[in-house]
Amino acid sequence: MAFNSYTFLLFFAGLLVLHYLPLPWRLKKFNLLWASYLFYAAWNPPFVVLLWISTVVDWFAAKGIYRFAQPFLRRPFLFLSLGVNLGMLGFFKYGGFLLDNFVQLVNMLGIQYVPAKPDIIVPVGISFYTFQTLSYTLDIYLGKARPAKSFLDYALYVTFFPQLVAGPIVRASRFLPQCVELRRATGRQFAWGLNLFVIGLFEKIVVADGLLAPVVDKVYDPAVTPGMLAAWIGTVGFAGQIFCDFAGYSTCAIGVAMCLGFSIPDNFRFPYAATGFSDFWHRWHISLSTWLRDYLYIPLGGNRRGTFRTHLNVMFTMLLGGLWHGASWTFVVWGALHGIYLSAERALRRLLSGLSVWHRPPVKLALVLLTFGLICLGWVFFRCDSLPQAVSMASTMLGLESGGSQAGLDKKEILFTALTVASILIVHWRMRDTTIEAVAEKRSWLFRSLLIATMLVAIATMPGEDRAFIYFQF
Amino acid sequence: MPSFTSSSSDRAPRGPGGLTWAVALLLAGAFLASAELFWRSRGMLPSVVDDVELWAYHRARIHEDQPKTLVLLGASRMKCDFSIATFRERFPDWRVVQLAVAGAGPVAALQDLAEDRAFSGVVICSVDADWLTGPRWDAQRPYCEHFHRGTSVNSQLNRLISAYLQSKFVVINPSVSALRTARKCMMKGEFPQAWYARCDFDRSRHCDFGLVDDLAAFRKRFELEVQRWYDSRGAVDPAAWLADLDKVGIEQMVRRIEDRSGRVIFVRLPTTGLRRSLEERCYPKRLFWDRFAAKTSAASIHFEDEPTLCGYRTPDMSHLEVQDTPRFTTALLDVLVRRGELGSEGRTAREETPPRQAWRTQALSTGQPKRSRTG
Repeated sequence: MAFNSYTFLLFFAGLLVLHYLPLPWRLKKFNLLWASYLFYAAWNPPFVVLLWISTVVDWFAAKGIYRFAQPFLRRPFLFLSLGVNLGMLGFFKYGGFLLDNFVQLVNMLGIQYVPAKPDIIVPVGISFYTFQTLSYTLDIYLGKARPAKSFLDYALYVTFFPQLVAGPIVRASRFLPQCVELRRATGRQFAWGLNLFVIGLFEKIVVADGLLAPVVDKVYDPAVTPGMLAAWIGTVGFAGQIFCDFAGYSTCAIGVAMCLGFSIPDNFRFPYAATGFSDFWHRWHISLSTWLRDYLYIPLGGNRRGTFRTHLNVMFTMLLGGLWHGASWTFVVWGALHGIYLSAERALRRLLSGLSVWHRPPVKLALVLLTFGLICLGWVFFRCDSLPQAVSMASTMLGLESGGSQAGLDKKEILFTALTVASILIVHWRMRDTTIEAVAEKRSWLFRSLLIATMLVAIATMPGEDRAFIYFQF
Repeated sequence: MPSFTSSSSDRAPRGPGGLTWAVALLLAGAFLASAELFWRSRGMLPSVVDDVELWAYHRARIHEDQPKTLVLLGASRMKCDFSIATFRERFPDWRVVQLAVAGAGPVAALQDLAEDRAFSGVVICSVDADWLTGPRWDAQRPYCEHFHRGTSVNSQLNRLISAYLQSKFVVINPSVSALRTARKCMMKGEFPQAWYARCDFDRSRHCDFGLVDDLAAFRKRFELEVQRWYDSRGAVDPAAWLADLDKVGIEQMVRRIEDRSGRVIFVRLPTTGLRRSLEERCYPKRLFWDRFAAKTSAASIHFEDEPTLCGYRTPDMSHLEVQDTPRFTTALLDVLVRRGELGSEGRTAREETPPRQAWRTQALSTGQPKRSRTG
């Protein structure tokens, strides 16, 4: 069930009524749990079984890890959790990819092998909830947390619908304490939760789907060879689209959870105002980047084992981060690019960080634009269907390939897209050191009303092609 | 412990949240109501967005428990020319399912129905020679695939709600969306005009050409498009065309439906003017339609063979005026009843025709088109 659907509005309205009835807290949690299963089953009911498997296995694995002190007794439980979660992820998400690559490899060796095409449907959100449950067992293994006392609380942690299919990836240490006592939003929190929901929908429906997606689709049509201008417009358009799509989902999730009295963490902090790639990953998909940092980069040694090993760890972490997004070499290249960016930045910082020039606003702005430009280059690989298309698009953007067309874009579309993306960048720049709540608090309630009304009207009158949230596929 | 960002639920800004929302809803409601009145005052009527999900919803209705089902296949002509209301008046106990898709030929949908063992109704399939050419067979395949693999109860329910709202309110129609209106105002300094074709929840489309400002220019534009299309078509060999139809298995599709007591009726709906003459130049009726009709075991009706199906207004040379569709549908139903294609309401074909195979052999050997199944 997507947030941008009428069925979700009905579902959410019904659930709010149930949640605010004078019922015991345990019953309310049970309501939230079955509602979350219903929410997930709306896509494909049989896949709820995967959620159950992940929930039950990690519940017992965590208990086993916690019970024993000796590593050789704890490890089997950890491997069980890793095996089941990563096994499910591997089979459903990477099965086809691995088979394709295996076939290509044996064909290159001169062996003609044509297997039956695997007919695997990727369960929505599998990357998110497997990482979420893994963080639970890993935290217990690393001694950072204790197992949940209540299976109901734990099942709700795994399944809580606002963040279930596209994050944020919530840690048990943040969520489980919230399950202990009755959660009710205050009137102010409830109203603000609805505000966040509307802001998220506005980002998704109006900006991502209404304004940017049509232009991006034209430029990234595999049948089209865009020229330099069209390629840049399509790519900066995609930068805006994917931000508004994904951050829109996270904002909706935070708003919905807030209406129910729960707190889930921010996932974005105006990332296109980042002055460098380390800063970018502190602002973009924060819950994933911290997951990778805590459970991959740091266990690999982080920056504690010398310069070369640090660069190697960064690259490995980013490659896996890229692969997490999708079973395709384009995502691997995207991750590699970010690994290179981060390593290069780390090396440059060592040489140049002492200069005072970096703190001057014009230089900062230039750094923001440079970072954004390089991030856009990465987005090319994220958006293209194939590596050859991505290489051609990136070459065109860098002026290495000439020719190409306007990809069917007229001047007004180009201008409109450029203005939309420029507006996003300006908002990010101005908001880079503040929060939306701080800004809202400075405005009068009437101004806020006008803003909400405008967004509501725009959402209602922006019907277009029905598009799923991009991050559902991950 | 992982260092997460600040909490998100304990940071709601100060201010009267309830009042803010009450005023916001009032403002938004007032604006939307005003916009609705404004668009209606300009002649706009609600129209349902026709998409794969709505198609899938109607496709699923075939499986509902009802003894008599009529499925309409084809492209835009079937959606515009056939009046479901007229059919229902005459055959109130039938269920009608409109599965035609504008701009896409019906071969894939016919195949899908043929493979659906639960279907045993009557199919009226609007085709022309161009839609039956090989490259265009799969035009409706994405719709069928979406029905079988892409849809869910949730997406169907969501589509039902949105279709219901679209059938009630103009303001949520994409043709007057905020973006489209803003673009039109900025680029041309005017508001969007009322669109001449609107769609109902049952997927029927109604063409009210009276809403077109400059009908001559409108027709000219279509003439240019049609000319360009047919100029781009190479010569088609009728024998190869017919052989291709064997290859795709049109006859097997018909047989599979007939084997389940269903029936398929191929119809060629009216076109006029330049379009008709270009069609005739590229696909002469005598060499294409008549041979196809002679070859298939299904019933077939070409509008030019039935005087009551000719002479209707088609301002864009391809689709009937909405006012004419009841009369046209009545005429078409008369023909079908006369030929016994709609069961007990008319004479049955099998009562009056010679054995099918013998008849087909006769038609093929004489090279004469099959004009009527009632002889």
